[in-house]
Amino acid sequence: MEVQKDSTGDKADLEPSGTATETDRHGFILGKGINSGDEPSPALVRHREMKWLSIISQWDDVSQRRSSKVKGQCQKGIPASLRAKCWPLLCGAMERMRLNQALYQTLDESPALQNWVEVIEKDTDRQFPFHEMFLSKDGHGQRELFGVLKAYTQFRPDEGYCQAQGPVAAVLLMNMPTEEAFWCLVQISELYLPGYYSPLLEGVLFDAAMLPWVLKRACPAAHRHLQRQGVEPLMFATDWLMCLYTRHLPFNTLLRVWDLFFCYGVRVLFQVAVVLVRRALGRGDQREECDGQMETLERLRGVKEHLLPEHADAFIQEVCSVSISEKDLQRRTERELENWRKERPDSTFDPRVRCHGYLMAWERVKETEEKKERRAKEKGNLSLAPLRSLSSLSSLSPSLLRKWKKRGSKVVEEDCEGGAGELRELDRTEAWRKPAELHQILQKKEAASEHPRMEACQEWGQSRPKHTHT
Amino acid sequence: MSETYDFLFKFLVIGNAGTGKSCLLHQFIEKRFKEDSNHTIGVEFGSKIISVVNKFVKLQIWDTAGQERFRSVTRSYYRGAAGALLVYDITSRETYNALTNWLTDARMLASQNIVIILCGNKKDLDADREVTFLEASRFAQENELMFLETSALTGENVEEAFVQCARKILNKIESELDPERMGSGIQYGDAALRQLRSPRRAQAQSAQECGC
Repeated sequence: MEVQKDSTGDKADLEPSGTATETDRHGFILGKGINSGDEPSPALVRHREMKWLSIISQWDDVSQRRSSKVKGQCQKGIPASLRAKCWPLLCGAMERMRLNQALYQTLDESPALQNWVEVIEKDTDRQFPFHEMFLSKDGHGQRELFGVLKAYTQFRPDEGYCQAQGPVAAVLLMNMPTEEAFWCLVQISELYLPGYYSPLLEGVLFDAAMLPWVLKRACPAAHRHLQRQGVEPLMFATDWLMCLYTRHLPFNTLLRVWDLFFCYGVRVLFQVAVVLVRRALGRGDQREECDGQMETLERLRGVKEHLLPEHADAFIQEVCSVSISEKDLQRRTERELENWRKERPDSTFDPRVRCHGYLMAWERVKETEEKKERRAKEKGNLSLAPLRSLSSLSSLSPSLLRKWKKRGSKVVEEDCEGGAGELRELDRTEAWRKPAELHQILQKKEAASEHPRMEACQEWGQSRPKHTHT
Repeated sequence: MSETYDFLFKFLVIGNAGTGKSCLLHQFIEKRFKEDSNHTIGVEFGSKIISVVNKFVKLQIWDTAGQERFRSVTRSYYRGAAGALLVYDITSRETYNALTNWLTDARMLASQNIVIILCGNKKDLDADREVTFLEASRFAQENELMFLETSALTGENVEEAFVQCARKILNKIESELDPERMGSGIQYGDAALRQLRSPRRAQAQSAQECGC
């Protein structure tokens, strides 16, 4: 209990409502039918904390980081007091935060993209209504949630806000401060699950197409049943995947699943899907009961009711025992991508870039850091003004800037990978060019005047009511 | 399953995010307003048996995500829907402006004969109204939709919306619609199935029913 308070206690004090409502150790109001399950014994928690503290202190040592200790401890569960530290460390959010100091603050302070404000505001009071952080509209939870989601739309104006990011950000905020939560959301959206929240949701469509292969291997009978009843993965797994199971697992189990997710990446989402499908339709009598599409879907939707918080350990063990290796996944991704490209010749989506877990995420952040350094050197040689601030850009392309400003956003460039849409692309691929050449490129982009990715992320009715679609 | 019904209709609830689709469904099924409604990611389901013109009809309702980007996902849910509630929020013109797009989707992706009822939801918030009843009913007329203003909060017209839509489908079955055609979104329930075992007698019976 004490351990938990370390990370959330100060936040709870800030809640203006000041109600003395009793909550469980995760912050959920008691008596709302949410059972938090058993806690590990204080001695065990203490033991695990020591292990993690040792891992954290040696994180910069590659061999230590690569040791099986990390994975082992993720499977056993990260102590609640250390999730605020470990999740951002595992997914590389900490590193990006370090490389982009003050960027979150700049985003937070700059005015929001108007068209997103309303959409996000509609959702902030719909996340975890029974959690103490999100009880009141003016409470810190809802304010912070708005801040993080808003900052993301400024950070990635080409992606904007996807409703499924709401619950994900909310769970992050329950476990860590705002800035860390923001960078975790960025790492999840860009590296762990690229394309999951983008305007076309290609990442989800792709993984939904991968899921039958996973199910066929791991639970063939249930898979056959789903096929026979005409139940497609998009019908039951869309929110499983997109919300990272935030709505479908007892909370203590969810946190344990996320410990694994930050460690191994998308594989865990597939493994959990297998376990849920097995729990719902694994037995012959269960399948017999679900004779029909709707019956099957209802069974799958209701699977949470049969998961007991006190069985979190067993659940996690089952998840880990579903054998899908990273290699299997990558091989299947290649094959699925061939189909994908046949069906969608125009799509540029490439799931092969995604990071399968913390080691890859770490490598990726490091790579971009090195690139940045190289770039800085090159820049010196070419005597190109550093593309770091608004002012240097405005000298290159004032009207492009005006356009961005008109959209109500302040463009902030990030030092490392990721950043403000168009700008970032220019920076990454074209910063090597001479200033005159660069100027031309910027002008060409402007002349085209269409920002296809920006357009794509605008919602109906907000700017183009007559928008037609394919 | 012990429940018996004559027909089973697949229904969709579609419309922009935040218009109250899930709350309408909840009010219809549970007869109360859902205070702590989450936004829908992907799809949620509900089903209920109602009695319409002496027939028991089971409605199988697919409540879809409203955010624009989910359309790439929700398209897969449309197939074979017999009826739809097309929902906008009377306090938000933006949600009304989007109706044409939703309509195109529904007509293109669901069954050709899909029966759609337009629901102007949040009728209880009349003070903040941005879309008049008259304007919306004209739109409904032009597009051959039924139309009601509903309130998921008070429950006003919620049951009616589902019932009216179901009634129209039943009428269609009696006149033109063949439930057995693929993708009609209609299935016979247990009661009707028994009749189906001797199809001629079933036909004769339904012909008699039409007569009265």
